[in-house]
Amino acid sequence: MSSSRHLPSRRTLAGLAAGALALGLLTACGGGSPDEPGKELVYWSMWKQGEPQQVALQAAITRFTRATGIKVSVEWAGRDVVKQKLPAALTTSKVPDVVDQSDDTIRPFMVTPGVARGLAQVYEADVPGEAGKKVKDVIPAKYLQSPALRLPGGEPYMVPYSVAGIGLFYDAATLTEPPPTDWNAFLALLGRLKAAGTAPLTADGEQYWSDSYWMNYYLYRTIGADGLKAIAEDRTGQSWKKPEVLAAARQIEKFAKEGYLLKGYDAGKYPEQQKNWAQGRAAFMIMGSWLPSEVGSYAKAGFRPASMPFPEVGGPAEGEEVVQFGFAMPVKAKNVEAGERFIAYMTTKTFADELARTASVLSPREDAYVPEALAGVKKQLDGVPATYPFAAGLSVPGWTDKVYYPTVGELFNGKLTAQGFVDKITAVQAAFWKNQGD
Amino acid sequence: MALAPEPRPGPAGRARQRAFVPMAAPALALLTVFVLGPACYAVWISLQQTAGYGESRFVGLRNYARLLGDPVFHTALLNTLKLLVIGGGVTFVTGFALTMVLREMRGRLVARNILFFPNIVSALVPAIVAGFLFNPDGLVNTVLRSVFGVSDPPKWLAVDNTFTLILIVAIWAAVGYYTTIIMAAVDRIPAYFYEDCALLGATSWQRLRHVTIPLSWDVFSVCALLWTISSIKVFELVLVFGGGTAGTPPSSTWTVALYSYAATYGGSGSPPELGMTAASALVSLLIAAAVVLLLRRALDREAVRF
Repeated sequence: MSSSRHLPSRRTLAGLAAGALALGLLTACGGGSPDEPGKELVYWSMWKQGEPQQVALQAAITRFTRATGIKVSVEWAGRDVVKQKLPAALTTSKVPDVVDQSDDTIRPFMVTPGVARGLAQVYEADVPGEAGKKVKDVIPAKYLQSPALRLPGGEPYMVPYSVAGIGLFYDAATLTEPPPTDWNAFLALLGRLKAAGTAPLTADGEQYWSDSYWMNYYLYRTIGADGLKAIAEDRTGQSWKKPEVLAAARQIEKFAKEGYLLKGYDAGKYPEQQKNWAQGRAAFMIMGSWLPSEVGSYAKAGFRPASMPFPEVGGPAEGEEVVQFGFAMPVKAKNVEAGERFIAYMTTKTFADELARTASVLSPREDAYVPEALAGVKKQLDGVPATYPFAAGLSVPGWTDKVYYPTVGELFNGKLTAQGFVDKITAVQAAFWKNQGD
Repeated sequence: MALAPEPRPGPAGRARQRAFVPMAAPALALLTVFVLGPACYAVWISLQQTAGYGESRFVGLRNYARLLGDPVFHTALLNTLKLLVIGGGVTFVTGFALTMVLREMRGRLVARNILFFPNIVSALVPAIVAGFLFNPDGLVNTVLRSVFGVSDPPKWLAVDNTFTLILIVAIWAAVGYYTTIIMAAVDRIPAYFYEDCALLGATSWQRLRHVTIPLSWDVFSVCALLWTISSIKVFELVLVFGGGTAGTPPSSTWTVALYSYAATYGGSGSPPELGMTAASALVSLLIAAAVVLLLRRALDREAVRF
């Protein structure tokens, strides 16, 4: 029994050393590249550690890794993930496989520059654990039908996990009558509220984007989102002279003129007016369905946020503006298959329920849990055949900041009359397009 | 004119000449990679229609033409100039006035520290405090209503007033900083000049004009350059005051720096235009260079030695 038998031979040692070296090189080169292809993926998230969405996503990621053996290296990067972090990464070789953001960020920062991957395959994939259901069966077609949500070739580039509608929010504990469905009844209600000493409306007046919801929606209800897009793309600006625009402006003009807005609405610092609304100082506020959870911490006792759809104004157009939050993949993603499996996994009812419950959001899945405050928005979205992004996904650099928001803001804040608005925006838009060149 | 031939360098001089290239090379290389290279790249980007990645198209000088024809850019330029000229003027007049007062004051060190304080806090703080003070039901209006019986107090935070408020906060933050520097310069002036003034019966205005300003002129001109450069970069104040976390601030409050930012990261759904961002950043660089040159011309006086 010689001791040498228990000692590794020189050859084994050399072999081990070479192996270790190779392993070291492997891990060093790839920055943690997979031992087995398809067993790892990189996900950069718009959420930050500790946010409710992050908590729900993290739980789902843990389940995904347990079920598939695919390791997810996730970075909770925050809101600039697609605007700033991804563009910087795209010029290097360290590109994430999956990112998530709202469609109005993914479209300009990934689709327009041509760096978003088509996700048609994901829609054809099975939803894990739900026999006989494919992803395309659980994400309603109305969230994909807008051309703005597809690549130029027609393939969808995004799989949403939550959707936000725009509603007229009120406190169901105070306003107990059934909300009006048409514009005149709505105006009558505003008049009654004012007479009774309650401010009917409020808005963060200096946030022009939020004032513009009124104009957006009035036009959606008459000429539709495509109609607004067509007006914006008119290089002469003359389309603003359509009678539907003046009609909308005449109604919005009333808010400031008739004193329907809470005093000081145009001189607060965002989100002061959201607070005022949640404190019951004004009855209605138009906003995205994130409003109830944003005001949660400063709402008065017994506050029960609810919403009604923008009233009918007698126009033919149907459909709802929706902001979608969801996953996308860059063209340069390395672990494509793993990424696609991951996204498909996030369409399960289990995750949809969990996310809706934890973060108080609406899932695109029609069978998912609905937070109480969003029951109105859910009903509003269920009832329509189509949804679209703001102005049907208009993609003109600077148009909102330079043409639309400031002029609509002035109308809303009572600095322009309805006719003054039409004249001014016609001229501003003509000058804007002239300056764009070809 | 020197007609004598230049003395030939001795052995030590030759060695120094030989050493120049290897010694300077690392610094030059770093400068090229991190400063000159990116600057040239910015010029190249400004000639493209691009997001900075993905597809791009060469458009020549079109981005510059669009800038010059854009009324929003004109407003931004005007706002930047207001910050530079009005902000600078008020800051330095206040700075000198405070220096005069503080020079002869007891507890001046404490006063100096208090004055310097705003410079330490982030721009976020004044923006938040402004909300607290100037909201329709904020402290100021509450006082105006209850103490002075004003029934309809002004709309401090209305969009039309936002830029004025930004200007005031920028001045508030800068006054202490520049006063501190100017005071340090004034402290160097020997006391006997002021004693002379006292003997001659000079007024405080005469003291300022004939002693303080000439003897701290070189420091003042450096301060003026620093202010020029920093005022052209004002950005976060506008973003925080007008936009908060939600959207781009109203275009009437933009500065050139904010215009550059908004061209890439502006309004919802707006595709990024890094070419416009680069073009407007380069225009602001040109303006800064021009103003600095003019200022150096205007402020260039022979330093008074004492």
